[in-house]
Amino acid sequence: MHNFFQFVIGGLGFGGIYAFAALGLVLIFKTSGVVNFAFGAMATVVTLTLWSLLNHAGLPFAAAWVLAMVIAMLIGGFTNGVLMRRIERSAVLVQIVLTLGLLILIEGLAGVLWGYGPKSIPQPLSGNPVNVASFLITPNDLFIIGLTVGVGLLLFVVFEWTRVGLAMRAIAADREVASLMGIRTNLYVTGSWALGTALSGIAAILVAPSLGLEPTMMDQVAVFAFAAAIVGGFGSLIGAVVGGFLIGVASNLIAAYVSTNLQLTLIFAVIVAVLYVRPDGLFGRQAVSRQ
Amino acid sequence: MSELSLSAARRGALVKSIRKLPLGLRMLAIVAVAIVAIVFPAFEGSDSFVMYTATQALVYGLAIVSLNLLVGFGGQISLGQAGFLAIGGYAAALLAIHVSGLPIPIEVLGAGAATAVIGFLLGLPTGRLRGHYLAILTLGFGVAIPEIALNWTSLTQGRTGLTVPPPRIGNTIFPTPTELYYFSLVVLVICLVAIFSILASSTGRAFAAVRDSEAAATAMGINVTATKVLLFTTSAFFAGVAGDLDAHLQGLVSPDSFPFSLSLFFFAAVVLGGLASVWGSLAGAVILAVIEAETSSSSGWEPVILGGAVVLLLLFLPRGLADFPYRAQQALRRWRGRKPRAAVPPSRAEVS
Amino acid sequence: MTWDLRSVRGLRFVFAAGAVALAIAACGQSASSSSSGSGSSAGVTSNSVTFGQTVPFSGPAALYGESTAGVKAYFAAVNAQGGVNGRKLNLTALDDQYTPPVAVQQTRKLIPQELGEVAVNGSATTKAVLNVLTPQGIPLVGPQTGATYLFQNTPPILFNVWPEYTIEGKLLGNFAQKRGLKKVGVLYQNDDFGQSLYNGVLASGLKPAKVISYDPTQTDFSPDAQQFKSAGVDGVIILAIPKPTIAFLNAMAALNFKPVRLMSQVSAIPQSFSASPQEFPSSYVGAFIPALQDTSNPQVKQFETAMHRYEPSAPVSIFAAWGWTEAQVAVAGLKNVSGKLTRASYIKGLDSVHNLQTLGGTVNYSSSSHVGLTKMFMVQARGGQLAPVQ
Repeated sequence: MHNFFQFVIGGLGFGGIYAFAALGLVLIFKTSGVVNFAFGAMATVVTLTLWSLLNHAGLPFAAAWVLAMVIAMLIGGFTNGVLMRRIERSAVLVQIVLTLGLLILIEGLAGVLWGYGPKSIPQPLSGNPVNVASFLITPNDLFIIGLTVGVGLLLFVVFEWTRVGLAMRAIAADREVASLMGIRTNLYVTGSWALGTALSGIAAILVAPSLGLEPTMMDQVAVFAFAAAIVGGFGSLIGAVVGGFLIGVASNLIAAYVSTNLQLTLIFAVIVAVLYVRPDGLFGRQAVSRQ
Repeated sequence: MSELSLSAARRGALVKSIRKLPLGLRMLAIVAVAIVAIVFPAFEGSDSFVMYTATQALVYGLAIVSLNLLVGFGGQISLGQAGFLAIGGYAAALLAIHVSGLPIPIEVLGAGAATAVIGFLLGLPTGRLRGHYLAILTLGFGVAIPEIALNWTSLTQGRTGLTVPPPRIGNTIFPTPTELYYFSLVVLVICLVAIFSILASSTGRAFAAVRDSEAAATAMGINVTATKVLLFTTSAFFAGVAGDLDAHLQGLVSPDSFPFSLSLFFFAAVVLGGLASVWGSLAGAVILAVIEAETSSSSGWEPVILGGAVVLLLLFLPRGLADFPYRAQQALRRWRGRKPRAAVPPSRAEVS
Repeated sequence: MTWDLRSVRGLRFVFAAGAVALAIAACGQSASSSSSGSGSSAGVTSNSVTFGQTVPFSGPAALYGESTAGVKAYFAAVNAQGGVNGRKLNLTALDDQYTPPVAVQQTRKLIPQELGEVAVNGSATTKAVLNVLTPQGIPLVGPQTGATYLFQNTPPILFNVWPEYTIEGKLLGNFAQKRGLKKVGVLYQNDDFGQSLYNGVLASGLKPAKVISYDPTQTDFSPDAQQFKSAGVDGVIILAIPKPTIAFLNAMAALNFKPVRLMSQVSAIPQSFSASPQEFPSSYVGAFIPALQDTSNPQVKQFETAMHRYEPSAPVSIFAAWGWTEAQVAVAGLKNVSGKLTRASYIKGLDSVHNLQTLGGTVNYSSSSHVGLTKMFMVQARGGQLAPVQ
């Protein structure tokens, strides 16, 4: 039984990472209706930039992180402001496939600029695992969990209880009406792309020490993040966080008790089962389909 | 995520009609393409790599058309088409290896049928469940199939994969690149004829009716669930055939032959070619196969070129390649100083 | 396309046109015959010879791409002496992403432009590549793998350089027993590479307490580390490629779990020994490449000098050393060819390679034996380097 809980705790670190990535996905989807398939690649570029700042510019970790966040926001903002805007009126599928093209393009550019050999970046918190109530957990994992919950709550508060959040929710509900009401939709949507990319960037920075930093690093993570967003109910921020932790723990348990080699299959089986019972995900709101 | 359903009535219709050139021009173009496809090996047959690329284009073409059937004509989301190809590919390899002397037409039909069964099973739940559910189901399918193939080593030899013997009829085997090309071409053409016939039939109209509005389709007396299941089964069949062709082309089936990224690749290609346009899909397949072949991966520029091409194509041709002839025609008219002609409105018989 | 009766009629017209075209093509095809295969001299001109290589530059085994620099350095050193029989040596290396289908596609690209292949990487990938090369009689020298299938029914075009993996596995298993390890765990990759090594470990008589197999794409090894820890192993044999090795070592460190580690030489890179956050005290590796810091060894000296001169920006790593060794063998075979240089005559030249001294040891071929190196030894990781065992 002790082992079981140790496995649960072991999955929380990755869970937090999936949660961050899912938050980035959900934020962008909520306001623009587009699933940004390129979020993983963008996040990897942010992390590679961090690596360059650490190793070539010799910046301290915290400063480099802040700078990397700024760059993430620029990337996200640029993608929406310049690229997505051009095909705003096109079918949603077209916008989604554009992000697919961006995924391939950005990963390729990362490979050309930084090469494909894995690089190492340090964990934000180093140190031996500590004993918390007879379970082992690393300080880094604790940091990740704390950061995820903190940021998740912060976003939730902003969305539900501030005017900015209200504006975003209005845009999410109906973009045309929101702009008719005087909300500057383009600004908010670009802003949410910027913020969403920064969140995904955090996920990548946190996962890089374990996986080895290279252009395709986020491919596997992206699938889990997507799964987390779905389980949480694709439009819910809290759902993204909860979903992330659930997926992290579930995949660790599957790896421990069944096999690491069937993680993806079983995770998706679980998701399909969850959706069968709750078609809108755990925290999703009923979306009306006008057929 | 009901935004992912494809009803054309919603704002920013997902399936904007592709504007067509007049019938005569289209016929001419098709004949020209057919002649080139048949004759060109006489000139390039000695370069095995060119023949492989051409055959790859044919295989991609069939795969993308099978997905377009599901997405463009049927309005369903499928993010796991590579999974169907994998089933077709493995079925082909297993049949060819374990049934000695199996004539290739039987093998192709067998691979298609096996995949169609899976497509049927996958399509069964779609009757009652919403668009996003399908997206997840197919996503999970596309991700799970390579994993299952990897782990079911007694059947699939895991990561090492199965070596696929060349196609044969009786005692004649055709292993050379040119023979593989013609074999794939014949299979593709037969499949295209079948697909066009299906689309022209009442079944095809039912597909489109369900895509445009399930409520209206039910009101017209169409069994929506049965139509969707049939759609999945049909799409899976042709994807399985494409998988069979791919198995012979590569000479090997392994879990890495059909990764999840291939599903995304096909999905992108459907949109790039033009939803609900078979010829757009084929054109897209050729372009993608050529780009893939031309860019040598050691320089690392292949994904940049491929991704860049996708992005640029979508920015300038959001309705897909199939829209290009119309756009070119309009540009020509404007250049000649005439007013752009209004788009040919879809007639009753046209279901795009 | 309108799919009504008009289009069906149109298609019939297309078929008629197509049938005519087919007839024309058939005539054209039989008139011209294409020649390819072992008779002609692909990859050979009057002043150059080109070899091909498929190796991962991206994906989970991207580090193995460093072997290309080793091959190129050796070729450059030979070219500086005037090449072989007046021909300069070239290498075309393509990325196979460590996946068999990609390797097959890249091999097809290489075939028209190469005499043969050298330093092809990976067990599953080489098997797929051999399927393409063997029927066409294209030689392959020095596959970067020691998988068992290479040594069973070895095709005449294949020339092994690496020792068979069972030798390495036995070495590791014996060492574990000699060191008195009580409970040994084994982590191995789920393909020919891992399986061959694992069979070797078992052949040494070792009875592992816990065995786990993994897929090269796996990224999170904390469950596996946890399982080994729960089993209470005091030593772990890691039969894995670099990325998973590092991830696994990191996972063990995160659990404060430090058994004795024995590794295959395929993951013997510095990061493997100094996994963060702590330095692991006892790591042992099987090897056939001698310690690269030992410049008193003339082979090592020659290798290092050439790398610094011809490939200054490439890491002087064990993977580069692999490429160098394989290139040495490839060139030796080339030197034995008198008369017209074709794939067939090159194979004969390789058959007569005798007593060749390479960086990895002595290589001897004959027309009946294409087994290369056979000796391996244990080294220890100390201070981030590999040194003889104390």
